[in-house]
Amino acid sequence: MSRQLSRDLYHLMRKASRRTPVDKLRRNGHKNVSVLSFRDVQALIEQAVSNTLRRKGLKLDGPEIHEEVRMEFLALMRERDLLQETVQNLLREKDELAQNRERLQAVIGQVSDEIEEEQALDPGQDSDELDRMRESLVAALKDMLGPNADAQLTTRAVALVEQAVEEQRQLTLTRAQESHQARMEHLERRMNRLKTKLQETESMLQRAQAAGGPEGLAGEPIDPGLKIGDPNFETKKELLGEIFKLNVELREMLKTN
Amino acid sequence: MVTTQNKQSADSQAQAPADHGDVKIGNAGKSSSAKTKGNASKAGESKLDTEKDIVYIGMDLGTSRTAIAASNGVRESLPSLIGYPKDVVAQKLLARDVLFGKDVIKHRLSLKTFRPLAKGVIKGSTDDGVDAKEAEANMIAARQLVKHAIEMARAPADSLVYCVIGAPAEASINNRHAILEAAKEVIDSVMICSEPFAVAYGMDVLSDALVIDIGAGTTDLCRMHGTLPEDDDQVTIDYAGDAIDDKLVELIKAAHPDVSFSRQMAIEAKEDFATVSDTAQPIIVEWPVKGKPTKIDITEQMKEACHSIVPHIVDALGEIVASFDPEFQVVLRNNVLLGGGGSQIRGLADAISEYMGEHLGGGHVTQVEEPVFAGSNGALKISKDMPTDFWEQLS
Ligand SMILES: Nc1ncnc2c1ncn2[C@@H]1O[C@H](COP(=O)(O)OP(=O)(O)OP(=O)(O)O)[C@@H](O)[C@H]1O
Ligand SMILES: [Mg+2]
Repeated sequence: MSRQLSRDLYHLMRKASRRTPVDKLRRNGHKNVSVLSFRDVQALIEQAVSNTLRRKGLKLDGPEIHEEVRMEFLALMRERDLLQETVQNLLREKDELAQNRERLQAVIGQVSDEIEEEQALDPGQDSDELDRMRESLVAALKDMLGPNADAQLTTRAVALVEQAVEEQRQLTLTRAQESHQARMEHLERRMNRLKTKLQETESMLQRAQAAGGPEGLAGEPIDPGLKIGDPNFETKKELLGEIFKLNVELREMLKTN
Repeated sequence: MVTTQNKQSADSQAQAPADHGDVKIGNAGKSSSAKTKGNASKAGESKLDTEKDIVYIGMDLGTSRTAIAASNGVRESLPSLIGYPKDVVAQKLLARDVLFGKDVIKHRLSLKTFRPLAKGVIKGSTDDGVDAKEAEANMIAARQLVKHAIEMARAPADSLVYCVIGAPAEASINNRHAILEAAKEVIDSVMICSEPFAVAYGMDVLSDALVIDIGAGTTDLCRMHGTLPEDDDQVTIDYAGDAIDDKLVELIKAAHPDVSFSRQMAIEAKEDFATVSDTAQPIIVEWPVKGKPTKIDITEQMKEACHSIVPHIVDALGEIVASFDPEFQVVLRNNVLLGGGGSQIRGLADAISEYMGEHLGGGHVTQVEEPVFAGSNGALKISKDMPTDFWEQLS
């Protein structure tokens, strides 16, 4: 990977990360913090892409793919660049990613339309033009030879023209097919790339959704214990007592063992 | 994902604090300082103070999936899988010592994986032919899984955590010990109760009902009659999610011999599209044929595979209903609750009702509202209803 790309990635990742003062972590009772190096992150991304490609049955692994992935990742990181450090920002990140996902889905829709259109195209369709060309060439030839020309000679000359035109037709057809093929391949590659990107975005979105504040979620204070108004109050009270008793017994057996 | 703190050049090993390579930093679960503070709120203090400090958790510890529901609103579930990097390279690459749930499936090639809860109980905690070393490893894995599941509830570090864990009704004393052992490290107070009971309690159905729980390895049927279920209230059959997967793989292979797909791909398709109803839209997957992704219609195979569980369930229902007093049989038959991850098959409750009509002379099945969380929701309800002093006595 180029050093520039590497540096861009590094800086963007730095910017996109949330910073927490070490003191605060210590106050919260953390003695150890897990550390993930930038290089390992890259390795993980590459691994993730390789695995995904392999799982999808696509034999596309290789250095170009990895470079492309880094570019994609860079693009994603650029989008994430706006995101900040607090829970509030996580929420914004969530919206952002959700929008991003929508955009990606829209583009995927467009590309798949393009693929369909391309598939519907008939690469042999401009042979009309060649037909016209052949006709005018034959006419010109006959004109040139005049009405008194040797019939055999005319036939041979016309045959030659037709052969030349036919060769041209084959050539054009082959070229058209080749470029059709190339366009299809391009579109399919683009599709795959978009799908990978979508997957990545979705997992980031999931993470953003899963991430709460570092303090944990306390929730509403609740009033514990069975309420007297409960329609099955008596039955439930008995059952809860039974569960408790069984657990006490279990504890005692644990101790004696 | 990553926070870099020290200024270094991009190509040097810029180190960053991260929580298992995850978004959030730090351990939001229990920290050791929590207990001292939490325990201070005892009898003498105002009630409100005590309430504020407690987070209740209900856990459904399943063979294939573990789900939690907590009083702070968190609900999470994960595959009951745990994995350790196979070698140094994998460890470096994954940058973690232990992986859980979906991550294990994703990286299974570079991991030594454990599914510590065979048949709903911890492997090795019973006489199941697992050697001592393996049993020990499973025990550790189970403990880490339980701990991880609790941490997913993101209880504040200074709160008390009270948890009810649903265990299979037939779990032996040894199994229960094993689960307790696993939990007590991370929870202030824990109780175990039978899994189907938790489902029933959660739905306020405590008597004259039958609970069906379709899991991965087993389908459990349990009769509720106002007491805690015991051995003879339970029937367990081996036909469940895994068996449906087998059937689906077999049927697709027969119908589409050219398609290359893995069992995991079939499972994913099932989890996306499972149905027994005729009205469903065609089920199309895109799987490789000779290396090229191809659209394949697997509607018929899906319906047949999913339906294959119906006769097994109705047989077992017949058995359990017949063991009840004749006067209650009709009530029981018409009060069947269907839950568990494997029950998320479109139209399944109706299909079972229909089959009961044909073979048992009638019956009515209701699908629980949230099949995946039915057990953990119920366990949460039990934990909240449990008197506070019971919790304190066990802590
Ligand atoms: N959407 C879905 N449709 C159909 N089946 C599903 C769906 N989601 C999960 N499953 C299946 O549910 C099964 C797991 O169910 P569940 O999570 O209740 O198991 P468990 O409680 O861990 O297992 P057990 O009860 O055997 O201990 C698996 O076979 C899985 O493939
Ligand atoms: Mg279960």
